[in-house]
Formats: sequence, C-alpha cells, structure tokens
Amino acid sequence: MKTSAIRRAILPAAALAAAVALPLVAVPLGLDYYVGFASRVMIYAIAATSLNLILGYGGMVSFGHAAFFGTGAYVVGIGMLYGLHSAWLAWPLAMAVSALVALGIGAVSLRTRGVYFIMITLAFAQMMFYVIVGLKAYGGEEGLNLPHRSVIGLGVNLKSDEAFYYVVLALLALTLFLLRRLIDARFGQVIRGIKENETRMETIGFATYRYKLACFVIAGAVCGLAGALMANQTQYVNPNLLHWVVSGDLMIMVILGGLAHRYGGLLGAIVMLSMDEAISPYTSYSKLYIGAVLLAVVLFAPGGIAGWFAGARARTRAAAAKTATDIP
Amino acid sequence: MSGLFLFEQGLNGLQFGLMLFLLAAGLTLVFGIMDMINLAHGSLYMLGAYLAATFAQTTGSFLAAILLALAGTALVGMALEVAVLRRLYRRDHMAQVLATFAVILIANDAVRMLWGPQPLALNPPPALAGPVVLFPGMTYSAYRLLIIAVGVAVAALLYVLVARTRVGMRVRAGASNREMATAMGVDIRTLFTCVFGFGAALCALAGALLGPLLAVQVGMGEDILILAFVVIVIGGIGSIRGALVGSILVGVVDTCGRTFLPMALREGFSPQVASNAGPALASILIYVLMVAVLFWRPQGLFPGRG
Amino acid sequence: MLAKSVLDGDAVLRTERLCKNFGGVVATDNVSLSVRSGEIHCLIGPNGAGKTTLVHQLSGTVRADSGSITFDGRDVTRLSAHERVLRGLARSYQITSIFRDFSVLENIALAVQARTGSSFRFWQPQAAETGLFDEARRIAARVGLREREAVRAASLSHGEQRQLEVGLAIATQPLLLLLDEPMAGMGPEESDRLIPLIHELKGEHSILLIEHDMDAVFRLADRISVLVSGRLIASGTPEQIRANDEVRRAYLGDEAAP
Repeated sequence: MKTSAIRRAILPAAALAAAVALPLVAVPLGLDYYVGFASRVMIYAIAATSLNLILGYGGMVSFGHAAFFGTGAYVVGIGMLYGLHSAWLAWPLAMAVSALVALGIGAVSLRTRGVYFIMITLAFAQMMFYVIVGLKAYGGEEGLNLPHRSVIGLGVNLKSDEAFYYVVLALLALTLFLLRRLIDARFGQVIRGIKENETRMETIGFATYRYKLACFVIAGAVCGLAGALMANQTQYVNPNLLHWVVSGDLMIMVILGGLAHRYGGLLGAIVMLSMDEAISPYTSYSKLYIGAVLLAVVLFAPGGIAGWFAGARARTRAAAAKTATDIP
Repeated sequence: MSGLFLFEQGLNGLQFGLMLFLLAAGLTLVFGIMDMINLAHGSLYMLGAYLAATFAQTTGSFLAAILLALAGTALVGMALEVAVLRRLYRRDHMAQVLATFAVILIANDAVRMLWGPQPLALNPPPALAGPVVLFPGMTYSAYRLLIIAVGVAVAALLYVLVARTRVGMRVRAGASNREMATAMGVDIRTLFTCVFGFGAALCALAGALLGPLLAVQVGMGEDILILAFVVIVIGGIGSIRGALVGSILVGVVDTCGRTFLPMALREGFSPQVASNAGPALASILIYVLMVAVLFWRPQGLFPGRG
Repeated sequence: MLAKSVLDGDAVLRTERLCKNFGGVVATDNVSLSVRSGEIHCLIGPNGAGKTTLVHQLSGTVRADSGSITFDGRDVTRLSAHERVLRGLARSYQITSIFRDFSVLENIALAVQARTGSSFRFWQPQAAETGLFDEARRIAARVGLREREAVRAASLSHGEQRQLEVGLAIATQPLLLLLDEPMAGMGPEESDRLIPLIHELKGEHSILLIEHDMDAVFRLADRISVLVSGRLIASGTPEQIRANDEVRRAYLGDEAAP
C-alpha cells in the first residue's frame, strides 16, 4: 500500500521540483521570458482548476466562468485607482467579490438545467462584459493599466518576475492541495454524487441545490484569485478577460487536461498554452491547430491527457498481470 | 420622435428578427431532433456570407451569388455532419459544446487563411439599392423589404414542410423514436444529414442577405450565434413557432433598444451618462429579456420537445 | 368494495383525494389510500395505471395538482423530495437509479452520510470515516451484497443492482419504504431471494410495495390496493381483493387491451 502511494507521489513531486528550479535555470541562460510564460500558465492553471471543480467533478457546464476571472482582475485594477495596493487586502477582496458575483449568478442559474444553464451562465458573463465596456471611468474598451504590481511587503518585491513566479507557484500548489482535500471530503463526495445522479441524491436526502451553489461560489472565488494574479502579471486589465472566448478557453483546458482529475486544470493549461506558444512563431493560424487537437481529443480521447495516462497505467497493469500468470 | 420613425425602427427590427429566424430555425431543429448543441452554426452563416461575396464578385449577379452560396454551404454543412457531428449525437451536451467550439476555431482560421483578414465587400443588387415608397410620407429601403419578404416566405415554407409533408412527418418521427422510425424504413442517418444541410442553407441565406448590411468578416458568426441561442431558449427548444416568435421579439427588442435607449437616457440623465450607459444597457437588454422569460417560463415560450 | 379513505389511527401515510393531470391525461384520479404502521401494503394494477406516477407524488419528485399527503401525522404535500426523506420517507426506483461509478459500499455510504451530520465538510477525507462505512457494510450484508461490496455499481448484475436499490432506500433509516417494483427484470431465482428480505424489513419499516408479480404480492401483502387508470378501485385484505368482481373484471379486461 505504502509503496504505491510513494510511486504515485513521484511524478507530482518531480514536477514541483522542476517548477521550483525553473527560474534558477532559465534566468542565467537568458531565458527570462519563460519565467513570465510559466507564471501565465500557472495562473490559467488555477483558473482551469476552479472550473474543473464545477465542470469536471460537479457536472455543471458553465459557459460564463470568465466572469469571475475578469471580476478578480478588475477588483485589483480598480482597487489601485483608489489606493488599494496591498496584496494582503486586494487579493482576498478579489476573491470575496468574485464569490459574491458567483453567489448571485449561481443562485439564479442553478435553478435551471442542461442547455438553459449553459445559456444563462453565458448570458450573465456577457452582461458583465458589456457593463464593464460601458464603464468609461475604468477604461471601458481600452482597459486599465496598473501602475505597479500588488505590494506584498516582507522584503519581497513583486516587480521581480522571479519573485512573482514563486508567489504564483505557491498559490497554485495550495489550490491543488486544497482541491484534493475538498474532493476527498464529504462535500466532494456529495458533489460527485450530484454529477452522477442528481435525482437520486435528492431522494437520499441531500438538498442538492445548496451544495451546487456552494461549489459554484468556491470555484468563483478561486477563479477570482486567478484573475487578480493575471492583473498583476500583465499589469493591465481589459473587458476581454470576461469574454466568452476566455470561458471557452478554460473549458478547453479542462477537457484537454482531464475532467474530474485533480491535475486536469494544470495539465490542460500547460498543453494549451505551450501549443499556442510553440505554433505561433510559425503560423498566425495557431487556433486552427489547437481547434483540431481539441476536436480530436473530444472525439477520440474524452478522458483528456490525464485520462489517457490513467488508461495507460491500467493497460500496463493488465499486461503485467497477464505475464505474471503466464508462468509455466 | 415621430410615429414614422418608430415604425421604421420596428421594420428594421422585424427584418433583423427574420434573419435571426433563419439561423434559429436550423439550430432549434438540430437541437430538438438530434438533441445536439451546435455552436458551429454561426460558422456556416459566416461561410455563406463569404461565398456570396466571392461569387458576387465573380459572376456579377447577386441572385447567382446567393444560390451558389446556398449550395456551397449546404454541401460543407453536410460534409461536416457526416465527418464530425454524427459522432456527437450520442455524447453529452458538454462534449458537443466543446467539439463544435473546436469547429468554430478551425473555421475562423480557415476562412482567414483562404480569404485574408480584411472584411469583404458585398453590395446589394443595384436594382434594390434605393428606397421604396410604402405609403405617402414613408419610404423604406427596398433591399430591407426584400429581406423581410424572403424571411416571411421561408417561415411559410418551413411551416408547410414540417407540418404538412411526408418529409416533415419522417423528421418528426425520427425525432421522437429513432429505433421505431428506422424499423419502419426511414433512413435516419441520411435524413438527419439532409436536415442539417437544409439548416446550413438557411444560415447561408441569412449570411448572404445580411452581408451588405453588416460586415463580412471573420468572427461575424459568434455574435449572431449567441443571439440565435437566446432566441431558441426564449422560444422553446425544438419549436419552430417558438423560434419565429422569439427571433422577431429579440430582433425588435435589440434594434429598438439600441436606438431608443440612449435617446431615452439622454432625456433623464447627462449626455455623458447616456453615451456610456446607453450602448451597454442596449447590449444587455437581450440577456435580461432571456433571464426574465426563463424565470416566468423555464422551458421557453413554446416548449416543443417532450 | 368501493374505495374509501381509511381513517385509521395508526396510518403512517395517508393520501386524500390526490389528483395529477398531464396535459389532459388524468394520471391520478382522486386517490385516497392509507398505509398502516408496520404493514406491507401492495399497490397493484395494470400497466399504465399510474402506479409510478403516484409514487413520484408520494416521494416528492412530482407535485400533485390537488389533494393532500399526510406522513407520520404531518402534511408533507408541499415538501420537497429531500425534505421528505429527512422525515423518514424513502423510495427505491423501478428503473435502477444508483451511482454507477461508485462502489456498492460508496453508494450506501453516501445514503448514510445524508442523515449523519452535515456534509458541508471540506477537509477530512470521507473515506476515513469508519462509522459511515461500518454502517454501509452492515446494510450491504443485509441486502445480500456483502461479497460484492467493493465492486463498482455499473459492473453488478441486474439483480444485484436491484438489491443495491433497496439498500439505498433502507440506508436512510426510513419510517416508510416506497418500493417501486423492486423485482423488475429479475429472474425467479433472484426474486426468491428478495422476497424474504422484504418480509424481514417489515418489522422495522412500513412498506408500500408496487409490484406486478402476483405470487410475490400474495405472499407478502397485509393489504392490497388496486389502481386502474389512475383510480383506486379496491382496497383491502388479499382475500377480499381476490374475491372482488370489479378487480377481476378490470384486470382481465385491461390485460386484453393494447
């Protein structure tokens, strides 16, 4: 039992070690660009992971997740206009406001199912998009520039890309860890049960609406944090952060990485952004190839990358078992 | 604000609504019959506009351009159905959303590759370029009148087709009980492909007709696609009647909202507020309408499926 | 014998003139029936009589158009499904409705979890709750799934899935069990195992049993009610029902109809 647990922890531990080492290796080699790139990947990973919670584990197909991403970003951006520079205040505030928005959107949307739910979440995100475009005081269509990144103090200056990178890495690791605890806990079991068979959950005695709403709010808050980090990363916020294309991108990441898999959001963000990064220099038609890959995954590998790995593990186990019994 | 101006805006709304109906009809048919969410519908609309613009250039005839665009888009639509969409009928809605979203990505870049990033020009036929006198004191664009006429004709045609003909009956039979219909000799697969091709042609018609009024450019499909989905949600999924009522409602509300809301705001608020809030409010009006309808009738105005 | 509401002192469930219409089709027509505490009450009737619709209304999945439902002395007509479960009214489904991706044990543990404390717990792993799983194990053994407790529900045989159905219902420790054709799709051997189980349950729960299998019905029932075209045409002991002319006519007549 214990050895398999250790074996399962090797890959994530190695990945973590590599992530910690990345700036230490890249900067001396003059590859600073990749530190910023990796920060972006990790920020999207946090956002995609939050979507995985409601989409992958909860089965709630929300096409308006970008609303929380943009909300978190704008809280930080607008906050700076009013003198709110401290990360210790602005980032939790971004999460709180996103949670509130999620509560409002969720309370209404979760009363619907199926395509109506998809449409209504999309509608709310679009509404917020247009409202923010109309807010000329906060940049409107042009967006808002941030004079500097949030202030952390403690002798750390987020102006340094490396420092910012480690902060994002820490938050990503924390998010993944907390998600894992949540899914394994009672709450996570209920959410998974609701995805599997909501009617039965009700006739077992669960008030499913409350759990779905709580899940939606948690996901919204985490996505708001990702938005706050994004505002810091680019030092710029604009309404496109709330556009449904972003919601679509996040969904692509989740399905590419693996629905209902704890690293699904992370894997998907890595693959999608890396693909984009690798293809872009050679062609301005990167979306065409990404679209083709996405289509192939949906049609032929619906478990995503994580699902493919899980399948591969099962296949090697089955093959090993087979050879074991072949002993004459 | 004269009554004539109101009437004109109403006509514009009707015109836009009828074009929306062309998209919504195909969308609700596919959704109602095959239980499939198809986001690529907007891409077919875009393709129709691009083909019409291209053929108008090469043939010099608007009518020829439209017919060729219809045929071309229908073919592409059917090819798409056979190659990709067919595999999605049995899948859940999320898989359908993602797969057709992928098609949008591919289509947008493909169009950009073939035609370049600049918008194409598509001009209305010179015969219809001028105004027409509707009644003394009221003129209206002849071209827009044509659009309204075509829209009404298609609506009538659809009603006859679906409600009265054998084909329509087969389609409805296939929808309610696939196995039974197959057992009775209806070739469901071919039928669905044809239904889809027909829906694609409707999209192309809308794209070609709206091309001269809106811009023929990459991404034109997405904006109208969202509106079309709002329409079928409001109208009731699977209901053509609902799609018609919904699209006219949405068309009128959207058009009049964009014109009158900023004006109304200017009456009560400062011009600055009006110019900022006006367009924003007008844009979200449709969504507010949808949320309101869903509150009152969660299955839409005419729930078609059951 | 005409249907009449039995004004019984110890009725755990009583419906009064329950009505349900589906766009012009009368599914439930002024049904007034009662289930006495501690009895097995069988509801029989031809296909399409509206038995499952009635169960949906009793469990709260469907709202009745008019009439009332009194459970354990209180009016539950307006209560949602999950609230009724918390009051002690559980059901099993005619068409198997379980959690296919979860193991048998996880299925039942979820049902136990619903009534043991809050599920708004985000930190402690649920799999570590021995109390939950001991109870689940006990129930799994009760319904004859002891050996299969770690198997994924989707991999169970049809009969085993039906056993799990019953297990999920009793895991909520209900006062009243609504069993909707628990033996649907089971062969004679499997049915023979389920019948004594239902009989055993009688001591701890009152049971309203929907069933087609006449053999099972007459073996188990304390009382029987007959539903035809949404209307309750007879209610009484098995002997009374067997002797009832209208029942014989309705059943035989309806059996011949398409």
